[in-house]
Amino acid sequence: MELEKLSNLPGVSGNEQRVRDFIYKKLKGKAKHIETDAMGNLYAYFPSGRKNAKKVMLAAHMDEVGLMITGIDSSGELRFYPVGGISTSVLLAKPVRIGNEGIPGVIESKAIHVLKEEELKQYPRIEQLRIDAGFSSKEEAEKKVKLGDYVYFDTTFKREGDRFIGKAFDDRVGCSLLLDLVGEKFPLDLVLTFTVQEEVGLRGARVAGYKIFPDAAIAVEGTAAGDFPIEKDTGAFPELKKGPVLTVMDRSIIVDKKLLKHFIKTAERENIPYQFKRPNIGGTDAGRIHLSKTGVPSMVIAVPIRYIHAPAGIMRGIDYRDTLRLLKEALKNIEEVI
Amino acid sequence: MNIKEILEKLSNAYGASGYESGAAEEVTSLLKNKIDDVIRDKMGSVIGVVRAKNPRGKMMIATHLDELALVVKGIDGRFIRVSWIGGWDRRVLIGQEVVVMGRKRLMGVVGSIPPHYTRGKKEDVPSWEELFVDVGLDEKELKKLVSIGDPVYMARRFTPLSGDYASGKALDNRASCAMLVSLLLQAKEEGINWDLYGVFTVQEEETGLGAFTSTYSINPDIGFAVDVTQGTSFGVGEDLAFPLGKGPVIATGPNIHPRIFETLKKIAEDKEIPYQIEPVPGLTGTDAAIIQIVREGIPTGLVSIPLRYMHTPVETVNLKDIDRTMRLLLYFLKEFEGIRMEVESGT
Repeated sequence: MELEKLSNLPGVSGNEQRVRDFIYKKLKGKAKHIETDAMGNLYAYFPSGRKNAKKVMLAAHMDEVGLMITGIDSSGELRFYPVGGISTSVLLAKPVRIGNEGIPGVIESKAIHVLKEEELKQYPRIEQLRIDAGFSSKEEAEKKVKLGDYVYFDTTFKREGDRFIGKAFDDRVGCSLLLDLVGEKFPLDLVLTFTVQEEVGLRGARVAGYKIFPDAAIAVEGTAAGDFPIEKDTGAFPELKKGPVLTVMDRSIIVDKKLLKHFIKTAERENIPYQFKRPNIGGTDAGRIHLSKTGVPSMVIAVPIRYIHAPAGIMRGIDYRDTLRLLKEALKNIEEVI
Repeated sequence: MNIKEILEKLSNAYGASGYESGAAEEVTSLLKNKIDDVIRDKMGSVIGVVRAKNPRGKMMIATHLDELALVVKGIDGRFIRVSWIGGWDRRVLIGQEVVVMGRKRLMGVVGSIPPHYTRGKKEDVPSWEELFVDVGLDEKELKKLVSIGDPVYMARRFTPLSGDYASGKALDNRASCAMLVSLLLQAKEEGINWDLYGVFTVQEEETGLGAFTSTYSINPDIGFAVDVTQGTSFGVGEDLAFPLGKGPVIATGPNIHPRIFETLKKIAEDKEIPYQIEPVPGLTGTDAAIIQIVREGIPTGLVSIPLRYMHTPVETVNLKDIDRTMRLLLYFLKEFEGIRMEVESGT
């Protein structure tokens, strides 16, 4: 499992280079062929050698949510804007790294002593926030920081027993799972696809779906666990330690029923726990891939993670292992339902 | 060891108000066998002593050792409900990595609801009742390892920034503690004219306990508090705060003895140490406010180090300001003649 290294790498949407390089090195010599495209997606081909084998695409996105530098004040403080869906509620007083050199900075947060009472009752707007990297003037800042530099959370992967804490589990967990499938033999022409720009509108997946146009596609994801104490109308789900999360529908796709049923049957046969994602929340690369050309039967399988799109998420190793197991088992005879 | 290295150790140490042991041990290990005496007093404050050959009296310099934290108030299913130690802005807690000091240390985060679940809804700042800490354990495991009263700290490592800046948790008031460690070591090396009692006080953020009890037991001729003060940043102008990198901030007002204020200012000018002045019309909100009224009253001074984002895990200071504060006080320990308590009649 390469999750630790993958989680620690910076790769905000549009700047996936270092993640791509890492994955490329892991796949080199193992895939029949590896290529990239104009967007920066990475494709690794594992043909079965069999005639008329079905082509299955597994997609995981390399990018993570982050920030981008959009301005420098005369004081040397940095203005920024989110890349992907980040609420300002998780930004106050967080350590960050700026640009390819990873210059350390902090997202400012006025001291409680100088805040007005109204200010304490609401989250600031993004325009009201700055990053302090220790620069004393615009000139000093400009020597190290450029407009358009990407900013990522300064969070280091940690492991305690079977619990992991880290950034970018959405979707480095998918990247890591795909790498863990390398070496397995399936009666399929497998295309491991590592996409870019998922977090800014599923952009890499659109061209990947067109390019590969597989017989079936599976997005492998890290999804938002919902087992925190908020919702009243349903139980809290998906949950950690309850196995891979299967999507019925989200805001980007109604998944292919045959594929979904195949995964459920496989899970039940193999005694692998599984659970469903809450309908109508979020979207994944499958939402673009299934629209390719004349259409691609597609589905989503995901590892549940609490606090995605925040500086640090929590997940359990058992969910990762169960997801990997279900993927392996389901791929063995998925051709029967394609 | 330079200021940055001392500050790194102290910032990373854990020591909430009432739970100062971790930070106290770190201070003790930095001073042990290097100065004349290191004591931990009855209430938990650490006192470092450097004696003068011919002392003009006893001078106490107090820096509070405690930091903000959270404290476990209950287990709610898989989640930990917390209360506060010190004055938090709850908004900064969301999404922070934490360490829960249970039966063993547990890594965790303060829960945040992903945007996928809040779409379209205006997010309210959670109340203390809604806030929760997540260590990823089940209820059963959680109850075995975590109890009511366990402190929960921000898991934030000290990080140098560009220039002379550095950021971390608890720099309020470990920046001053690092100054005091450095001052004690330097005073021992160079020699001073006052017996110096450097006190790392407990519980400033809650009750000021340490300042009361240590001042009472030391009974100094001169008392000092060194604390942090608000630093300027975006939206926090010089009407509210002091710029970083422009030197220590010397307080004046009813809480401060005028002779101490004037001497500090003169020394800063003579030695070309940049400084700033903070007029405080009432009490200073620091240990100085307590020290001044112990026993029969103690002539008291206050020097502050400007700090940005106070009471957050990304508190930021300029290391030069810490060093300059140390040098200012070191000169003071050599040059200050003392205060004669007499009523001068004008006739």
